[in-house]
Amino acid sequence: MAILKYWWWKALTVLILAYVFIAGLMSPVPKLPILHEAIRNTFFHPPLWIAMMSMLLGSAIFSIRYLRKGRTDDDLIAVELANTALLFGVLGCITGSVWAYFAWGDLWPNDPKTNGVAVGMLLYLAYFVLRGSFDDDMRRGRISAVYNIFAFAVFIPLILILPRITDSLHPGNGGNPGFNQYDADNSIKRIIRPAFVGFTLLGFWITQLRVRLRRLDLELDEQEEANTPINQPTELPN
Amino acid sequence: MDQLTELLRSDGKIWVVIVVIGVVLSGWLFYLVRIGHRKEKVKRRIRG
Repeated sequence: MAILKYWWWKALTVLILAYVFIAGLMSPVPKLPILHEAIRNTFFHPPLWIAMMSMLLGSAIFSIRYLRKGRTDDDLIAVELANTALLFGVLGCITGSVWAYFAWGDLWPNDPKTNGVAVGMLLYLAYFVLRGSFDDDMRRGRISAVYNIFAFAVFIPLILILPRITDSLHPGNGGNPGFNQYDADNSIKRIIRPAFVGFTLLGFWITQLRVRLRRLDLELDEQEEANTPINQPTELPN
Repeated sequence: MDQLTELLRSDGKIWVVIVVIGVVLSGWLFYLVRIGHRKEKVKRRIRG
């Protein structure tokens, strides 16, 4: 993750996002019934999920690294990645709701993908509850790292594999055609692929800010601990 | 609410896209503002 210390990837993020938002609103899109202009939501709704999954993968990797090396910093990055991923997930749910209301006629359609993601988000909420329930830093780190790895291992089948083998409203799931069919001139792919990268990079950027804050907090904790005199008993207890 | 829905449904549904973009941007903004508040807390800790 040393690469995140440089600035150029942030410039890249800004450029990509500017392109995605401008081109996403202005470029010609395939003409489709029911959806009409709402097809442009493909540039803003799926990238949220891709970014969320990338960050959760990152979180799981850092949890594994924490278990192997035992460095507090890895644990801290794992938490903050999961935190930002949850933000992207919530935004994905809301934007999905809005889109579904106008395209499918329901704010929360009974779709395996939507329901799967709801369960997945609860899994990660439980991760934060679990973290809050320990007093001992070491135990909190180790147990929640193990839980985080399992949560990721459940989350991915829940939103990527299960919706594909049952009936689903989402394109590319449950035997539905993907968007490729309507995208002969690549007008969607040209924007959605940079969007995947841009949204993911922005997620890591936001996470970096939170990680830096946490490191500062941790350092202040250590300083305070070093400054407080240790109460040594004058006599050994019997 | 019904009138609003009719209005939003009547045209090419570009409003849906605007609402979605609005949700995404305000979500990011909300999170960044919260990071700003946390930063202030850390600043106060450093000054004691």
